[in-house]
Amino acid sequence: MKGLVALLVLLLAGSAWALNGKVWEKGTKKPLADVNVFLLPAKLKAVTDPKGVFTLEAPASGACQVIVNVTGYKKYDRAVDCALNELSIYLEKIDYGIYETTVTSKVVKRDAQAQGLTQEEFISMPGSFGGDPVRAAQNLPGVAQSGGSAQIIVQGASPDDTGYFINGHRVPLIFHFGGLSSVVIPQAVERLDLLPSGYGPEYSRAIGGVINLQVKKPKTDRHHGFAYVDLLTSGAMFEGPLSEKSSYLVAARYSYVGYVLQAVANSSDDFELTTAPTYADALGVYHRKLTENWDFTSTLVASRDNLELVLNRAAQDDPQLRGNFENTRQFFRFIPQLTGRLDERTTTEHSLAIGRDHILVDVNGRYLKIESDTMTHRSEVVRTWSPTNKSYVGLDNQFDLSKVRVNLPNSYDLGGVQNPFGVGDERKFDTEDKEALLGAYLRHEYRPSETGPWTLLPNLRLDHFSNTHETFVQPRFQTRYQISPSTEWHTAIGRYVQPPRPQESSPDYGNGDLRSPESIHYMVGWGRDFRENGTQGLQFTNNYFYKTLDSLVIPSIADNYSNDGEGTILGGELQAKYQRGPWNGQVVYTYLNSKRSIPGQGEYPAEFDQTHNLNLILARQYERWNFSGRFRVVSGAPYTPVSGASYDADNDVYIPIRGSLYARRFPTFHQLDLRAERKTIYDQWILSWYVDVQNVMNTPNASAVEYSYDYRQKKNRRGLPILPTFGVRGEF
Amino acid sequence: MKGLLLLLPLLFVSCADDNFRRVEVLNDFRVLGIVTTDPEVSAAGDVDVYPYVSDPNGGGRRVDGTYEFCRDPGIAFGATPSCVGVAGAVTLSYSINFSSESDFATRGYTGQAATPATVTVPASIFTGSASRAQFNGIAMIVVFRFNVDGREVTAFRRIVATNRGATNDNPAPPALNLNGNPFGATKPVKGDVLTVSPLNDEETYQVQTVDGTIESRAESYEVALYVSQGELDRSKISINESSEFKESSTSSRSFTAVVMIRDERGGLSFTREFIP
Repeated sequence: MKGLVALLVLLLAGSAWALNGKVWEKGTKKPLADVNVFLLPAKLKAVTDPKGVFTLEAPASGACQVIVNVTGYKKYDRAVDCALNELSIYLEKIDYGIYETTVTSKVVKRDAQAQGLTQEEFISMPGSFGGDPVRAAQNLPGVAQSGGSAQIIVQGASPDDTGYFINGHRVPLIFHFGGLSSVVIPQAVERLDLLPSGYGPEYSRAIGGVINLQVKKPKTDRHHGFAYVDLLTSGAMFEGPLSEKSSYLVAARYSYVGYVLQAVANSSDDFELTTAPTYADALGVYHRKLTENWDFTSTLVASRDNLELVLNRAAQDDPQLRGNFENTRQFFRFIPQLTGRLDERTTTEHSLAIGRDHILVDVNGRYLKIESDTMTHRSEVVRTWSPTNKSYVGLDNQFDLSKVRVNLPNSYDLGGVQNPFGVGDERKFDTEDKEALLGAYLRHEYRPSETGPWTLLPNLRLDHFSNTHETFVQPRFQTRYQISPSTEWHTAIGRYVQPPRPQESSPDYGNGDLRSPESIHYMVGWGRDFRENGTQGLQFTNNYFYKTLDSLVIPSIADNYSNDGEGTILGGELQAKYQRGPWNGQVVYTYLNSKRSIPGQGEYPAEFDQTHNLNLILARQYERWNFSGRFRVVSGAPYTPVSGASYDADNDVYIPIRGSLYARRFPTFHQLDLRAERKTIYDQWILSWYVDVQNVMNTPNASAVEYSYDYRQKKNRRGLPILPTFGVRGEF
Repeated sequence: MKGLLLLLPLLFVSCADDNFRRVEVLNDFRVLGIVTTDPEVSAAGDVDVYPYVSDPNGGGRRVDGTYEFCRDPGIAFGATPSCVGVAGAVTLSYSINFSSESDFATRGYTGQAATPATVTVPASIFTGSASRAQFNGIAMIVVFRFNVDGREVTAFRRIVATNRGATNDNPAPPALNLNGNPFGATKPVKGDVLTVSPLNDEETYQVQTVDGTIESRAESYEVALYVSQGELDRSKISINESSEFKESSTSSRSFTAVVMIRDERGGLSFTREFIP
């Protein structure tokens, strides 16, 4: 018996054991395939399978050493006990992205002059409040500095002339209260597209430009997620596969900045916040691959902003601004989308956006309530006829059914100077409004020769607006001239229209005979990529634009509103992006001369006529740190001086008497923003934190004028003070 | 509408500058209100209009100016409150003598001017107007312009012509109380409270809406308080609210307090308290 046991021990000692293991990327738990795993001193090697799994067989005695060396990762070299049966190997990458959930994508540019930001660009942009894409868009050429305004002003147009879209479908607003954050969590945005002057026929109804947020498709490789907390908001996002063919993404955010405001407000005698101002948004995406050629994606976007307060004291200059105040804005859009390939040369995409908008403004019992059911529709077929001919044909429709309840005086703010609340004409009515905005377009890309430098794009857009009973034919012509593989000239000319706003064209309280404002865009530009197919080096773009604006809607004493406004916008912009090693930087400059004219006032600078706008951005990655900064210098915005005031003895207010419109300018705006970010890599998750300080130099940057009750005294109201933000996030 | 939405964030940053003159403190020449015998009249009606003024630092001077009378050029829609260029406008000279008129000299140079500006609403004012406009009223304006200390002081009010029948009356002059009692001989000090007691109730009146229906509404009194010394925590209150002195009246000068009560549709009355 003893002899049998001894024989068995001997046999076991001499036999092979199996070391089963798996190789992951450290922090993200991404399985690494085709990785060589070496075992010393036995000089054994195994290769990981697609799931990162490997098996090594070796004598189970003595000390062993496991070595893994993969390009782009730190070398793994560790002594292990040879008796070990299982081993998890986490390889640490040399460079991690800003966030590992960051999407790396290319901006899809149908229009050569289009500007875009990918997630990896906007997520680390200084001054973007933690990577908000729309705030980051203010660094793009042609975009004005708008202070705390929740607006994107494109190439000297008016704020209302910019159209906001999510996945190609118009949404009523893109920012939450105060313009700190856009309505979609940044990490779910694949890219932001800015279409400035001369944009193609796919979009319309925005004579200034278009901002589109493209929501990303959920990841399918494994489950990912992150959660974060910062001084303003908390949020989380999860995504991953549901099955082999389907995947999901869910995200939500909630802002508690209002509770801070509430604490401050409740120590004030002036007002108390009965409901803290809050905002929240949610996003859900479901993607399913139906067949080899067809995909279905549905996206749900929802946003809500709410504030209620009691103004204990009437404003000194406007006694009717007192009492209860409530403002709620919310909307949702459900966007099902079907994309597919009909044949080798034909693709198609169809989508709807079904939703509801709700706006409530209540000022001490005087209110504006809007409930709007809306549906937008897009369909497009793309056909490549030959290597030199490609067509895009599409429909772009919008249907609104709105219930409007109004009990408010009308508002008059010519020249940006607001008349007191109680002076306006009293409006009280309930109304229902149906509106259909129908659009169709054709984009055609024609190259006279397959190898030639020219591409001609004779595009056409048709629009019909039911409220104004107008139909517009809008030719939009673009050309591209490829001087070399890295250098291209481009031009565009086109007609653009947008319907008047509902309150302007309403027969009840606007002007039922109003027409749609329109614009002709002209642009020419060129771009060169000095990187010559590499990733390091300089990219340069330079565009010039000119726009004429006609039939602009302006307030009218006789008719509420009229089409007597006109304008011109002339400008040039350049952007130089440079990347070398861990450094990257940008110089963005815009020159602008934006004029308006209305009868009786002559020509005057537009509200956002910022002659010079210079943005300097510099970033450096150092090991697990990322540092970035932005410095902006912008010509002071024009404003209308108030030359006096007339006392309205009925309403006990002073009505300002305006001087020449926008005849004065605020001092030059300049602001430095800095951001630092640190990443700590754990085996199965990553911890990141950042500090983002806006207006480090605390420059006053006047953005408005404050007046005494009788307008005899005034002072500039400063803009955003130094504002540090701190955030922490964990991701897997 | 967008402007209204943008109002919201401004509320958090638009606290009035502490260095600005306070609206309730009387110092330079000001018009505090414009009183009429009738806020609303029928076509062809006559109205006497009196500015209620204050000039405590003027030393009893004479202030010269003009008054204009014309159809409302559309102030509610943004027109400048002026009769310049308006058809049928009438402009006449007007002056106030603070040393000889009314009881200015013995009441802190604050009070209602003695001389009325008399205006007559045109008999044809309703011609060509929609029935709704005739019912709700068509406004004429009276604009006073005074040249004082090198600047022009402008104030106006509306005279509403209506065929409604029942026209608006001015509220009865309210009682102004200090700490719940009538004013005595002691000037207010910090912490004292002003309250206002109306002597009549708010009226109800009728308005024709856009769709032609007649809607009944109730007036809501708005109260404006003025003092020649000290500071109040609230200068504009509703009828049930009070206002507290934030600062005492420390000067040896006389003290004047004025309350103006408005009914939101042109009706105006006032009460003045004076402590030598």
